[in-house]
Amino acid sequence: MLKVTGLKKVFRVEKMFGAGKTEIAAIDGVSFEAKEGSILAIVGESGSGKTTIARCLAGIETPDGGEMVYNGNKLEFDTKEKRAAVQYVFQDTFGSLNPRMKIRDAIAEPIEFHFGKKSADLRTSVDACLESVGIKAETGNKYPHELSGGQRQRVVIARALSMNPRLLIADEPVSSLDVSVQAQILSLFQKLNREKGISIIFITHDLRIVKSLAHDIIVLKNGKIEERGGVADVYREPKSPYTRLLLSSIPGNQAGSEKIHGS
Amino acid sequence: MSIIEIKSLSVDYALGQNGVLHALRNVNLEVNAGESIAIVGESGCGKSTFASSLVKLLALNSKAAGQVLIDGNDVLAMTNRELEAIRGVKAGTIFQDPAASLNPVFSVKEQIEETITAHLKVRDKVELKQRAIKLLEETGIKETQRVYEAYPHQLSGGQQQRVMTAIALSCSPKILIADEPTTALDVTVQAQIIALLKRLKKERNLTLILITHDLHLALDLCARIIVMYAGEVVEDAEIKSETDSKHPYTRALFEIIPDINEDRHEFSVIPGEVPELKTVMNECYFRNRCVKAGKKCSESHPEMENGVRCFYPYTKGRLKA
Ligand SMILES: Nc1ncnc2c1ncn2[C@@H]1O[C@H](COP(=O)(O)OP(=O)(O)OP(=O)(O)O)[C@@H](O)[C@H]1O
Ligand SMILES: Nc1ncnc2c1ncn2[C@@H]1O[C@H](COP(=O)(O)OP(=O)(O)OP(=O)(O)O)[C@@H](O)[C@H]1O
Ligand SMILES: [Mg+2]
Ligand SMILES: [Mg+2]
Repeated sequence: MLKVTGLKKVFRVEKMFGAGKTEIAAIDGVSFEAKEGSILAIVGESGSGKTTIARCLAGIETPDGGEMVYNGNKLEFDTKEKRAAVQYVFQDTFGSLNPRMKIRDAIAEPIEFHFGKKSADLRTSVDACLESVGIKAETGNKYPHELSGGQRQRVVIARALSMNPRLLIADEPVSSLDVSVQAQILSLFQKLNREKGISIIFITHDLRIVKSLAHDIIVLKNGKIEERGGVADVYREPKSPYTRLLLSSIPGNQAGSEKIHGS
Repeated sequence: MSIIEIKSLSVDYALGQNGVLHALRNVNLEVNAGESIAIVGESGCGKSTFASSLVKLLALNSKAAGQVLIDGNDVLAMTNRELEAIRGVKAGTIFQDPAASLNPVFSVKEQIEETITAHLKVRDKVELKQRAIKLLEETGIKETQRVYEAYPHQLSGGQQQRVMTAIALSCSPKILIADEPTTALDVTVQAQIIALLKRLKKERNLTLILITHDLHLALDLCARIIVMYAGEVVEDAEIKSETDSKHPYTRALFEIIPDINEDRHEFSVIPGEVPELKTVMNECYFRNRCVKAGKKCSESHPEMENGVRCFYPYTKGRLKA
């Protein structure tokens, strides 16, 4: 189980005019729990701090306060094993693949580093890893720009999964993909969660996906938690006005009352 | 009168030793001033290539043929100087990837104000700032002053996307080409952008070319839906709901939208993949994935007829074949 208590992150930026700095409390005392083997969705306003939480959990950003405890121990990244156990899939997959490296090598590199695999053994692992996300081994010989968006996304996910993580943090992993490719990737997440018990923290603004995928949800606004609970409960009876507004604004949701009509 | 007229537009990408990819093939389209059209279809079917052709911002390894007439003038035949007058002023563009389209070394202030100065020759500092802040407010940004002063990396994904929209609208273009303009936005902000676009359509008679994979967004903003598959238009019609659509591919796109009324469930996919067209074949490109495919589909390539490119289209109103 992952337990986050009072997490804080403040960005300080130089003012353009005049002296001093502006302080931006990107996350301001956020506490939540992610149960082992469950899928937790984080939704909320644009700029509410979702990506910042993910970056703190992945050790990319250092929090200014609060605690992150994973199965009883402080969440740390000081050993290879600990680094491998928590994997992060960035929103921008193009930026997270080296354009001059073949797909096969991009996947092999961390496997070699973390598990010390070599030659034939390494090759088998890479093939298995690609296959697990439905990509043919021969596609491994391509460069990133030669793949479609959906294939590229699956490669990044495959690389994260090759580390056998216990916790996967995925920041808007499907938002720029069409519904069919989205479904392929979401089905894979479902399968890994069911069959391997991987815990997933899934950041999205798509409330349809949350309903179909996640067990629990937290709703974020202005760096604070507005509401949390089981997905079915929150959707049936949202307590915070902001959650209600979110649910009623889903495009095409007939039940929604505040939808903007017509064109 | 039509503001945009596209005649036999084709775009090829050179793939080095691996031949040529036909990304767009023989697209014909007329758009009237003030009309809104949505372009939908799966990843890789040519939507962004189409958007880039409209303002001739195509990749270096591309080759375009045909005509793209804006107000009667062929964009594809224009010099860079002539194109400058089109881009931004006549046709504003919001590109798919905000992180890659914003310049990382310039602040939001510099990027918006420079666009206004370049095209509209406004140089007064106070006026420039007023305009910039107003644009940011209109796109639903809350801390306008902070975002105005910020550099792109200091903004969240959705904030970057709205800055793109503000830049695209900064010179009051007659045409707005918006490639996935709301993918990084939560539904409330998305609703604000939708309301803004609707207002501009009404007040300024804006012509909107919306590219999206979100069918609900498309239906909400546009009366006319253009469905693309493997570089071709396969349906071009007024569609209000699934039952209006005739092409089996359009129906399939509707069918796989996750159901909000159901708790955790399996996701549905359209089996198979969009073919990458390197050779032109005498068959329907969708037939391997199509529930209605019949004999004719493997014998010849269907032409557009009554707004649909299909030998066995659905008739309006009937949901299942
Ligand atoms: N490096 C930074 N410097 C200054 N401010 C930052 C920085 N990174 C993020 N912020 C600010 O912190 C706040 C939270 O940003 P974050 O990226 O976590 O939001 P988000 O919830 O992921 O939003 P979105 O849905 O738009 O991606 C935003 O107001 C953003 O402008
Ligand atoms: N510069 C390029 N060189 C080679 N192939 C390219 C290039 N740009 C795009 N393609 C290919 O052309 C096809 C159409 O690409 P395009 O970007 O227009 O698709 P799209 O419909 O916008 O997809 P998405 O929904 O993923 O954005 C794809 O198969 C893509 O891989
Ligand atoms: Mg984010
Ligand atoms: Mg695109």
